[in-house]
Amino acid sequence: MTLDGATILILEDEPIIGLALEDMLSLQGASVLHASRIEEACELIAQEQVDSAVLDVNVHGTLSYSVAQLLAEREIPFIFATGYGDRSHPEQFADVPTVAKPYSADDVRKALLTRANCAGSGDSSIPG
Amino acid sequence: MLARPQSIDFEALFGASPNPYVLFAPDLTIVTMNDAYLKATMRERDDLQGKPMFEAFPSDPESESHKALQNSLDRVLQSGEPDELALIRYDIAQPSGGYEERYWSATHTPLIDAGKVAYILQHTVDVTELHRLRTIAAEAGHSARDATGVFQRAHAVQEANQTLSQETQRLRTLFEQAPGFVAVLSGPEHRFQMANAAYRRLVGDREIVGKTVVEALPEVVEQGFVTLLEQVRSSGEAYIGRSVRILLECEQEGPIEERFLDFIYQPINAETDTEASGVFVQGHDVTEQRRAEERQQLLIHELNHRVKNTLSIVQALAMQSFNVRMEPEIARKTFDARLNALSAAHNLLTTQNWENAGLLETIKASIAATTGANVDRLRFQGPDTVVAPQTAVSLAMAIHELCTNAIKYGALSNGTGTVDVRWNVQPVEDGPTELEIEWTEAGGPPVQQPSRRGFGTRLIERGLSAELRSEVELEFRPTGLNCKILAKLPRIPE
Repeated sequence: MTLDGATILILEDEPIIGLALEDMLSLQGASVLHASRIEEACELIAQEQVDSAVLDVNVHGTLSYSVAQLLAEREIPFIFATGYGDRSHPEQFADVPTVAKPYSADDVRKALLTRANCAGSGDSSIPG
Repeated sequence: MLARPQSIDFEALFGASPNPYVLFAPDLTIVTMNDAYLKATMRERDDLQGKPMFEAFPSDPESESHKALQNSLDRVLQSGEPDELALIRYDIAQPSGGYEERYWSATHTPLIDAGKVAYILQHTVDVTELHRLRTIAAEAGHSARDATGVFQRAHAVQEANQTLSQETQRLRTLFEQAPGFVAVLSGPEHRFQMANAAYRRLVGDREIVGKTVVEALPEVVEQGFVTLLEQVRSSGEAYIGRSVRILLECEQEGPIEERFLDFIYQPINAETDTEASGVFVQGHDVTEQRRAEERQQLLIHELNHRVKNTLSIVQALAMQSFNVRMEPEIARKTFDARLNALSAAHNLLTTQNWENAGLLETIKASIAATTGANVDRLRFQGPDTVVAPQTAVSLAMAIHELCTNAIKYGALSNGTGTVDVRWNVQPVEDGPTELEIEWTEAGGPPVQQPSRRGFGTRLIERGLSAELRSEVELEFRPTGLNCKILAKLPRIPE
């Protein structure tokens, strides 16, 4: 069960946290696309081959559900990362795995792989 | 009920009645009167019709009789109920000049139209003769067993009425000035009998007294308040509401506003299991309190978010510090120093409520936190501006990394080297501000390009602003490190 070779989009507005997440994923063999704004994430999804995504829920005060919607439409698996422990997601994203900050590399990997399975890849690793 | 016989002319009946009648408008203008009234007052119709009552019959406003009459009429206007003056002295001007002492008994009856007092009918009886008889009897030494009995009773009733009226007025004033809202609703229609100032303020100073709740406050019907009132009235059981949400028109013709109320609906005159005659409403507007509680919840939520975020940053710093290539003791010192720099940046943000931070302060505080006593060997030059919280944290951490590098390998690693820190801010109209920082070391040992890019370099590249990427140029000159940072900063809302 690895993320080896997968291209993962990170949406995170705090540069230092973004760097750490990038390192966590890179160490597991993934290549990372980093977005710090919602528009930037949407552009990357449109332009690049994205296999999976980790979305911070609150990006500069705006909720990132529009990005989640875009990913869902393209059937790209994704997870949420959030510092708001008790916030529940809108109904259509209620069962999206959510890692709470601060999260470990293992937390993120497990959540991503669960999602990849749910998306029906049938494979234990993210396609890519 | 008997049908009104068509043949009777009520106007003629009014005119022909031997009892004196006069009709006042609510502003106490004389509307009309019958012949008996003209006879009793010795006046002509044209003298009186259309004139204000107190102008047509002048009296000293400070006199007891003037006040008694005024008060009686006011009571009728306020309550919509009839009022009686058992005995009042009201002197009448004689056609020949001068005043004739006259005593009256008066009944004031309101004529209600559409829930409001439209007219007041005054029925006056001239009791001057009775009064004279009583006086004569008293002067003649007779015990007052005669007609004076009527007079004494009348006097007593009048005095009692006055005391009661003063008491009522006092209670009314108390109600009116009560800090909470108070209203009295009567009957199955829930008609406003009274509403105090706080109540009227709550409903945008609308005209409500005399109207039913449905007429006066149509917006509350669908919110279930009328049903609730009816339940209280018919069951005789009080209802207590705590922080109940209501949508109200709080300004006349204004928008519907959300309010939160603590209130009680108390049945009036309810005996067990019987219907109440009305409902007493009393309560407080607790909207402000409710909003404060919501704000507090929001703040706690936000605090939790910031703590979690800060923990994530600390975790990231730990990951960058404790890697396999580092000796544990050095890694621990690196981590401590980074935590220290982060803490200094947080101090700055806290003083600004986490809204923004000063650029100059951010740079200086970061350098001071890292270099300690060596701070004198750095020269700063550049204008001040405000930056976003995330920019401040990243910038502080980047400066910290440059300082640490200078202390370990660069200009601050010996006793003589210096660092020149210059920056410039270029505001771009309708666009991001351009920030250029140049860090130049001199006087240190010769430096070499490191084999891998460190955390500091990556951090700066990732973006001093979370919004926009920055460019970093590192030049390892023989004289010392030269670092140029070009960042684009989002506009800070004023």
